[in-house]
Amino acid sequence: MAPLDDYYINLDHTIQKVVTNDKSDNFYVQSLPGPIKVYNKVATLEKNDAGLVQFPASGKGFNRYGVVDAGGTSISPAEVAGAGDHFLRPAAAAGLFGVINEISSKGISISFGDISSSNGSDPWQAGGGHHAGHGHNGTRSGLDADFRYINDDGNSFQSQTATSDSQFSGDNNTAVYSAAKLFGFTKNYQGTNGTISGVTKVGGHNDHGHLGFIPGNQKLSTISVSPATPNSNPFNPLF
Amino acid sequence: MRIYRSFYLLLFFFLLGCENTGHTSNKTMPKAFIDHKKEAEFRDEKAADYDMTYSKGIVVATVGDKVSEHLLIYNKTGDVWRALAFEGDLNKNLLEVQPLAKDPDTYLLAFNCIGITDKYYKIIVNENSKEAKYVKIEDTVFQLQTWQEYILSCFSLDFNPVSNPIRTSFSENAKILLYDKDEFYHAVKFHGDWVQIKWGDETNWHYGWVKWRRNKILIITLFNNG
Repeated sequence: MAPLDDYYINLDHTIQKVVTNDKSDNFYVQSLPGPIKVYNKVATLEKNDAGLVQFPASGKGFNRYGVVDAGGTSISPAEVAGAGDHFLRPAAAAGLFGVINEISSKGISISFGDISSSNGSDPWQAGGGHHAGHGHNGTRSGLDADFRYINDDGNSFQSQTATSDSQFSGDNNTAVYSAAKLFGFTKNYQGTNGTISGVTKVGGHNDHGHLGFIPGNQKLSTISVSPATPNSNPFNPLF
Repeated sequence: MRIYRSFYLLLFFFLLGCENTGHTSNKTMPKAFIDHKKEAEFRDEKAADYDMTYSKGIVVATVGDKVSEHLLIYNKTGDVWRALAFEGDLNKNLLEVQPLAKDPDTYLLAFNCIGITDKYYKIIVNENSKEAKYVKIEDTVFQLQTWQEYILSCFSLDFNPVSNPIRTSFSENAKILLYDKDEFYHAVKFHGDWVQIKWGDETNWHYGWVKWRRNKILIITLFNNG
């Protein structure tokens, strides 16, 4: 099993990791800018045998959508899919918490869809199709997250044709992709009708966006002690 | 002892005969002699195959932002067989269909269309049993696409890089390009049985060609979602 860590996710888009001997990975987001570093603990997540953590279904500024895939044995194409659909590598989870922390400060609430299954395959259950990314056949396990596009009110909305709907907010969706890029999600997709500058347009994404994490593109460093300023009322839990 | 030996010899030839029936890819060798790596290749190629002989195209449900819209599927007699919806109470009825492609999360429902009458598209609602039902042509929720249009709407496609390698142009004689299993290959345009693909990103696209069908068999695997 991979070492268990504490992740400190900063407002300047850096992430500091402290290797610990705890049973789980802890995730803290910086709550205020400035030299006195105050963090809110946003999650304690257990790493599974595949080295993945289950991203929470909901929290401040985010929730999930869609069916929780049951997993199972797919015959065509052949693949054993783990149960669940919300599993990420811890560093990618840290990046996603950073994205949420940043966009929620701008009044955006985001809804996430498929990520990866518990064994790192793409989420799947009988009767459904496979995702090319999200861990299919071991490609990009625990690195990618779907999200529903954001409307003018700052909320994710449901539509098959979201990218060309009048309620689609260019500014809010740009904010999501921009924050994602700064936290290491640099292999991102939008639908063929999308208009966000710098985001690759592909088929199958006019109803939802796709954030793809590239580990080397995250500003992650390992430190020996917590960066939280002593006596600063740190680790104020959000939930 | 001789009787036993004769029995085993007869059994061996009997099993040899059984193995050689109905498995066209491996007609000349019994299963015990199959190279497992080769067998895996056969299986992978088979997994991608889809018979398009009788297909008139793909009927896709297009609901836009009306995600609770009822999708009506009819029996041949004209009465409603099932009413479905992506959201709401009728969402559970999606379990009743096993079409060519389905993903409630992304509002995807695509059926192989195998017939067109003056009022209906005849669609396969269960790809395992090949059970066919009908949707009304006048129902604008359902739109008929060509296979090419449908493939272009998918996120990516995959193929057997050994039997169907990427080539620089739409010719069996064109130079072969390197296949990277970690890349996503997106359809760009078609030329007969060939599809142009691209991979990379907006700043650096690479292009090549692969075959998408062979003798009315779809030989690529489609991924509707990324």
